[in-house]
Amino acid sequence: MRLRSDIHPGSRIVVLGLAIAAATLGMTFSPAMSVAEAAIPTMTRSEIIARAESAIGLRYTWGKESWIPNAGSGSGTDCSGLTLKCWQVPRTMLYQEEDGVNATISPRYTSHEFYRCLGPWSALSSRSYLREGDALVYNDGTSGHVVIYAGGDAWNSPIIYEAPGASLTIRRTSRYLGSEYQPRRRSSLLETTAIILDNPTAKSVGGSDLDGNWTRSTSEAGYYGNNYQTRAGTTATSWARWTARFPASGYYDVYIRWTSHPNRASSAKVTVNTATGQHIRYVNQRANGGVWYSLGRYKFSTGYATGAGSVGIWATGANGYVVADAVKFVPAQ
Amino acid sequence: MIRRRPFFRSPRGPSPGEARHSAGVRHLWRGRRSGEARRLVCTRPPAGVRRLASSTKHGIPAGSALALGLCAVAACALFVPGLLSGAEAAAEPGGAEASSAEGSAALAEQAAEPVVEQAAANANARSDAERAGYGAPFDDTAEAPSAGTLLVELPWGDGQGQVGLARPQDGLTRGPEALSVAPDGRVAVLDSVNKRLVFLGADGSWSDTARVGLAEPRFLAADDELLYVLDCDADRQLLTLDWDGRVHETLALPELPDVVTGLFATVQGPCVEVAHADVFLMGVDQENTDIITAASGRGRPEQASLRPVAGRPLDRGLGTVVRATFAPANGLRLRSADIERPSLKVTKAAESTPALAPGRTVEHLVSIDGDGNGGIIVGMRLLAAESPDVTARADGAEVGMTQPCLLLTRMTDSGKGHRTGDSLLLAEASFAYLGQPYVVAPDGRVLQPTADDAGYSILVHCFVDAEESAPAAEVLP
Repeated sequence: MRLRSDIHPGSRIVVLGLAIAAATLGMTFSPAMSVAEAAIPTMTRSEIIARAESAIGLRYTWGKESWIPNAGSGSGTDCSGLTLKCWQVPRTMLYQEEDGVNATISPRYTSHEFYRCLGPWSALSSRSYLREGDALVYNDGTSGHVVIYAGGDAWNSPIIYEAPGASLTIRRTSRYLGSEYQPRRRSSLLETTAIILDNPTAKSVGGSDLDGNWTRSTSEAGYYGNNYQTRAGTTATSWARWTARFPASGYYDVYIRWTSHPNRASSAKVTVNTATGQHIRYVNQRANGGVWYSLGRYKFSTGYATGAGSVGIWATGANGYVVADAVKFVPAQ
Repeated sequence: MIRRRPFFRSPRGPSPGEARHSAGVRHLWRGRRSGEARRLVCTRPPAGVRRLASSTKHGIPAGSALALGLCAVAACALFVPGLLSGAEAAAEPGGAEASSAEGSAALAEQAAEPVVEQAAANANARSDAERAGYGAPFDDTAEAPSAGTLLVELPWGDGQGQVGLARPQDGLTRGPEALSVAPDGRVAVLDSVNKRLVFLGADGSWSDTARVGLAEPRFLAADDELLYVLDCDADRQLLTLDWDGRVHETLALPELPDVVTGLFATVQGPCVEVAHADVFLMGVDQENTDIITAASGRGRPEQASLRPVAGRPLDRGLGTVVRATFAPANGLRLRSADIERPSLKVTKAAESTPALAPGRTVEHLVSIDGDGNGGIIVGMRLLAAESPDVTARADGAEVGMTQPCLLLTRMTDSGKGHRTGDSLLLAEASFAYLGQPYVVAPDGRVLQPTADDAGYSILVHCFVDAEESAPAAEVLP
């Protein structure tokens, strides 16, 4: 199938215009960008980092892109799988080869696709534009590697998240990456100074992804991102928890979001874990849906620590469905 | 993508000075007997090999030298405030009442902003600067990267005279992670794939190897007596060895606030740099037991206070340290501090914002090192598009493309703060993984690892002043 022939003539002009604009603005434009961009969910940089953090310690597994965070076991991931997972790139997404031939990812994206911009991402004209959550990729046709950029004050040895290779574990580390490594930026990024973590970033009991008993839904309007997840009140231990990496110590205003409905819990338990202890709040999810609901102002320390920098919502003991949609940490002025 | 060959393999093939000392090892220059070499001296390059110099007498055309001089007095156009402010100023989405749909639309718009604003700001900043007489257009004929002198070439492998390479199809290519130079000139290479140290004489001759009992050795630092090898990812241990390969001590790395970005050997002991910022003295400090940070053996670190030093140590001592930050919007900021012993408190600090690459676009800060004489060597990576064409390859091969370059500037201490001195331009080596871009030896020479499919090499570059002040090494026929 040749996608290019399906493009409306008017669209071609738009694509050409985008290409010129992108070139002017320092981005490398790929025709695949416009094809794939629509299918990739919007997410924040803090979500990318939170997802990378949750993979630390797992084993590198070639050809995989899934893991059970913090559980010490699971199928593991390789370098491109880590980036795909952190960037929430749908596995079924198609891409368009440079010759216009459309192909199914088989088995999936690799460093080659990251390097050649054959997906919903683009090249940056300089590594000095890198920001947390971007990627650095190398591929020479026979070998390749891709890492998530986490910072590093624009040094040549940035701080990164990577799945280095067989028998090695996923880690946050610093490494000199020479000019062979090119900067890439995911499409559909929300640029904000707040830390916003959507429901795909949340973890459940045992550190697993928030799936299973937490059902994805779009039934009620007002959700953040692409959907939200619900769980009926239960006597079993069941929670959804978001952990953030805080770039700086200080006070943050914490918010949580849900979609309201009469079948929701009227007093869902929310725990805010800080360095000084756990703070418990209760929220009525039968009202105030679709807004950022304030949980108060708390002090957090630099870094990533589930016990000291996270927010959880509990289905345990709830008198209705509990919604896990998103949380937000806003640096206090 | 245009593939680049690694730089400066053996210049024009084997030279008269080249000798084969052990299987697979080549080194061009043999100096004095390694035991007598108390100071590394810079060998002069072969005739025809171009070297960046700071004055016309070193082979740069007069016009080019003039252009360089003008550049030196011009302020750097890159450091115009606000260059990237747009990237940081992206507003937070939606207010408390914003619906998801509205938010999504706003998000899509915002997502496209950073690069747009960066590029626009960049263009404006440069044109403003140029109107003001700063940031003269780059003259790509003015200078060529230093060709360097080949110290040693080690084929890939795990035998004598070789170093290891692991190159998976998908994953990190790994080669030697680090090299370090002792004050007496000996060189140690951390052959991490083979989990060993390779010892080379000051002339590059193969000396010996020593096993390193760490799963993922990453960092290496050395002085005349001891070497320190750090595994900060897997075993999280710091190994202390001597140059005979005997292990003296194994320290468990204490809990650190972030990832390790450097390891330095000082007379007070090994120092670990964290996140390009804080530096921590490791091991037993004889003068202040309060800052013992780790216990011997493989047990848990002692619960001692972990007190940071205010910057990266220079010249193998904690007397003076320096901390550097760089952002395209703000330029380079250096903060040097004198440290009181044993309290590690700052007694005197000075800040400066030198413009070290006038007229060029700096992409990164690369490294800060001492030059062995109280000065600082600042390494910066120039944006590839503005780097000069590399046509001065010693082997004469045509390159026909631009190559990212590293600009090293030496700042001398005049007693009233640091003053910008001469510079050295290096072509950034092109290989999947090299561990380090370069290493500054205690005598101020610059050792640059390079590699290609055949093996790993070390090039030696010199600042011009170092070359003039140092006696020429013997070059055996």
